[in-house]
Order: sequence, then C-alpha cells, then structure tokens
Amino acid sequence: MDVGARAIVEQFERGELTATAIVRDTLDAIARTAELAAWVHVAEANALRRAAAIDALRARGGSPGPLAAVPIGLKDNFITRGIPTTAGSRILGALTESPWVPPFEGEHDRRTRDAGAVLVGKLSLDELAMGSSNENVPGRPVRNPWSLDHSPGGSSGGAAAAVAAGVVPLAVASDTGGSIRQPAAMCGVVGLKPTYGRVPRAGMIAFASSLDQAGPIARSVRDAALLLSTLAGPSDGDATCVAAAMPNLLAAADRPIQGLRIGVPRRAIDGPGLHPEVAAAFDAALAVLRAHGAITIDIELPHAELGVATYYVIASAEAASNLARYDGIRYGPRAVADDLETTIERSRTEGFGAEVRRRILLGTFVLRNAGYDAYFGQASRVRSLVAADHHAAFASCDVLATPTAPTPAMPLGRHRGDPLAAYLGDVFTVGASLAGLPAISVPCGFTTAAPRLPFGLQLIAPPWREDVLVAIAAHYEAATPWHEQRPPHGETSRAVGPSP
Amino acid sequence: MSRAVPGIDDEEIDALARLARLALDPLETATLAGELTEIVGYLAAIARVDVTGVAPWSPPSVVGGASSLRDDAVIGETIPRDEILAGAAATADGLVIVPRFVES
Repeated sequence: MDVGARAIVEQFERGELTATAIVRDTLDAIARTAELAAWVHVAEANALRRAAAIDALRARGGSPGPLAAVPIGLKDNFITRGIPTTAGSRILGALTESPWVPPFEGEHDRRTRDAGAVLVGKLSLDELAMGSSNENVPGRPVRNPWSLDHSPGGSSGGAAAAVAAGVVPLAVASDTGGSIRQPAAMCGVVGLKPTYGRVPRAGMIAFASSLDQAGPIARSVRDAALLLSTLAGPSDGDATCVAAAMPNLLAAADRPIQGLRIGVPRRAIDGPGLHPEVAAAFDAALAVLRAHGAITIDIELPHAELGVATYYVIASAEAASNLARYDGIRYGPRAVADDLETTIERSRTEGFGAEVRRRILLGTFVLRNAGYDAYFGQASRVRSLVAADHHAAFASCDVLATPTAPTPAMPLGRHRGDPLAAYLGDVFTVGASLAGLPAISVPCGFTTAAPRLPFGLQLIAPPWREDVLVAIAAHYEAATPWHEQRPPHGETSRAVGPSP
Repeated sequence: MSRAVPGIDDEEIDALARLARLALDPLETATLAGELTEIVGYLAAIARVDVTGVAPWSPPSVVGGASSLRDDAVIGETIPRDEILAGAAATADGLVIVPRFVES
C-alpha cells in the first residue's frame, strides 16, 4: 500500500487498520510487483504470525512501539534467525534447495521488531553487496520501477525498488561505497547512510568492515529518520559502534535551515561524466535551498578525484580478507572433491559470482607482499587525506552537497564486460564512505525524455550530525514535488480496505 | 612515489587465485588478466600522492575516543550445537565431516 510508515502507525494506533490487514496487503503487493524481482525471499508465515502477535498486544492495551505494524524489508545481507539469508550469493545457498538459515539473531532484525515493525521478506542485492546495478546476482536482476529496462542501481537495488514501488514504506539497507544512496537516487526515494559507528554492523554480513554501515531507505525524509532512530546505538557485537549522542531526528526535520551553509565542491562535481540533466537538477536544488534561507559556498575537496581508486583498493582488500571465511565446510553448499584443498577451491569458485571473484583477486593483489605498501598502505593514508579534506571543508560550511550519482539509472546490461566503468559511477558517494561521514540522498528531479528516471541530491554532514542532514533534506522535500511522484510499475495510490 | 604499473598476466592471475583459494578456468584467467590490468592501472593514481607523515585512517568513533572494548566474555545466548551444524553440508555425530586431509 502506498502509505508512509508514520501514517501506518497512526492508522494502526487509531484502530483503523490491523497489523494483519496491513501485512496481508503488503504480501499481495509483493506478488503484484513480482516483475521487479525485488525480493529474494518472502517471509509470509513469519509476517502473519508477527502481525497476529501485534494485533493481540494492541487488543490487550499494549503499545507495540514507534514502528507499530509497519511492514519492512531487510536487504538479504542482514541476518534473520530462522529465515533464509544468502546475501545474493550461491556461497550461502542462493537459488538452491537449502539456502543458509542463520541460527542466531541479527541486531537490525531485532531492533526493528522490538520497535513493532513486521519483517515481510528479504530484498535482492548485488552479490555480497558488491555492485552498483543489482545485476551481479545469481538469479534475475532487479528492475527499476520507473523503467523495467533500467537498473535500480545497487547494491541495495531490491530495497530501493520495493520502497519506490510502494510495496513497503521502509527497508533496512547497507552502504559500503554508496549502496544505500545511489539506488535510492536512481529509484526516486530517500536513502540515509549514517556516520560510521552509528549503527552496529553485528548482524550484517561483512563486505568491507571499515566502510560498511547500515541505514534506512524510505519514501520520505521523516520515515528515514524514524527508522534510523530505531537502528542506532551501541551493540556488544560491534566495538566500532558507539553511544554517540543522537539528537531527536524527527524534531530536527522541523528545524529552520535559515543561515545554514552548504558547501559545493564544484571542481569535484563538474566533469565529462556528469549527465547534463543531473547537473541542471543539482543547480536547481541548490537554488531551492537558497530560497529557503540556506547559503551556498564553493569549497574544495583536493583529493576527491582519488576517491574511487582509494575506495576500490580498501574495499577489495577488506572483502578478500572477510570472504576468506567461506569455504563450503561449516555452512553453505559444498562442492564434491577427493581432497580438502580442492573441495574448498571448488566450493569458493562455484559459490562466488564473477564480480566477487574479481574483487577477491584485486584485494589479494593489493594485500600481498609485493603490493601492500604501494596499494593498501598508500590507500589507507590517502583515505586520511580524503577525510581531512572533508573536515577542512566543514570549517566553512555545515554540510556538503553533490549529485548522488553522475547519471540517472543505466539500462540493464550497460556495464557488462566493463567493470571499471561501473566503478566510476561511485564517484560522488565514496568520499563520505571513506571519511566515515553521514550522507543522505533525496529525490531532486527527473530526466525530461522518456523513460522518466529520477535523480538524487546528496548531502554530507560532519560525524554524528545526521540531524543537520534531516533538517535540510526535510525542508527540501517539503519545497519540491519529487517525492510525491509515483513510478509506473508500482502500487499507485491503492487504498487499503477497512480491516475485517 | 612513482612506479610503472605492471601489466597483470595469466601467470600472476593464477598465483593470486591460488592465494585466494579459487580455481579459475583459462578463459576467465585471461579475461581477469585484462580487467585487472586496466583496474590496477586506474588504482595506481594514488601512488603519486605524497603521504609523508600521514597516518592510516581511523573511524570517527575511534578518533573521538568513544569506542571502548567490552569485557572478553560470552555475550547473549549460546547456540545449540545441532543448530550450528544444520548449516554444514556434511555432519555426523556432532562433527563436521570433510575429505581426508592428513596422509595415512
């Protein structure tokens, strides 16, 4: 149903809708939008059982929480106890008779459930979250609800497509180099990557541990803020996740933005890869923010052009290291061979897809003796310079603004056989990832020619200042019509009938 | 720091694959040699940056001093052995079965 999370909570609390009715409609919506291939597992029995429990709690006068009765999807790299979790990889049994079923609970699943949300299923992603188009999958690629011939972006393509199509109001996604923000931009929804250390990584299948961060995808800034408030906070399972003070994000959405300074790294943005309509939409967005009292100033990010190279060295190195755990022995499918070494080699080779194998080899290359100092060691230090650029910029501004991606969504198959071209699409998102900074993408316009494809405006804030992102993004959202647009391949304003 | 970027040939891909416990067929090996040569050529741009005196990056949670290690103790519930083993491809009597790896 095409209703926001806060509206669902209100309707449930007023008794106008039961959790069961909401969940049944959501399950129907998943079936109606099956052509998007956004879901890799629908947790129907779990969802209906959970909804019944929420309805029973309410009938007893209890309050299920701030996300009461809200149907939610988790990207399939989040651990869900008793519910298949494959991260889109055959190494964890994707598309097999026996996908991996985690025997333990994930932090994000627990936190959203404790807040009253109902997990309805797991969302497609590029295998192990490596990719920017949701085409690195063992099964069907996800399709963009704005145009079925186009990618939804990635790696959280299923999450962005399902939210954009109005199937669920909220999804929990992960962002390593832009995997929340870029698909959100390409599907016309809101994506918020928190500060590194704001949300635990425990319960999220590791890709690149110094970059991975979980966060919300939603159709409005306030819904994204609501979900982030639920996910944030320290965990015994992640020493890098800390008890940093979290301002009230929903209150921040009502804060004035008069006088806030928005830094624009003009030199880093302008380039031959920038789509002219993305450039125009970005400039128009800055004009809207100025009209609402914000001040735009030009700033420099001197090492921005090295962001993609730095990111791919570090992310690939950490991936090669993290993915060493997959051997087909203790979990996941196992290839049959006579000796242990060959068993492990074949299990890994058959289990990982082409892009993952490529990144494992790249990571092995930059980590081994001969390349360590020149690549991994060097990249770790250039990363500090990238972070220092951002901190220097924040001396003269409150947030930075860029387009989220240099282009709108690509036609499916566009980057086949050209991995480097795909990597270059991450140019605007990797900076905040490398520096560990919070960043949000909010819809900021559409292509004029058919098919109509959305763009995103990215805002980046200093560490722990998600509240400033929410304040500016909420003002921008209220001043523009983009978030009200609905894609042709989705749940267009279907009303839910009265509860039985 | 400046250094010529070497091409990555099939032999090097094979060596990397052995380190990474992957068994690639000759066609993929050749394809990856070309792709990694191009990608590594692009990544080499970072080599021209002077990083003298620059420390490797640390996350904001560490820089701010907020991060701290908890006690080294078992947290949460213990998962029953059978539930853990349910994910393994071959088990017997509470053990994971693997092909023989010690010479008899």
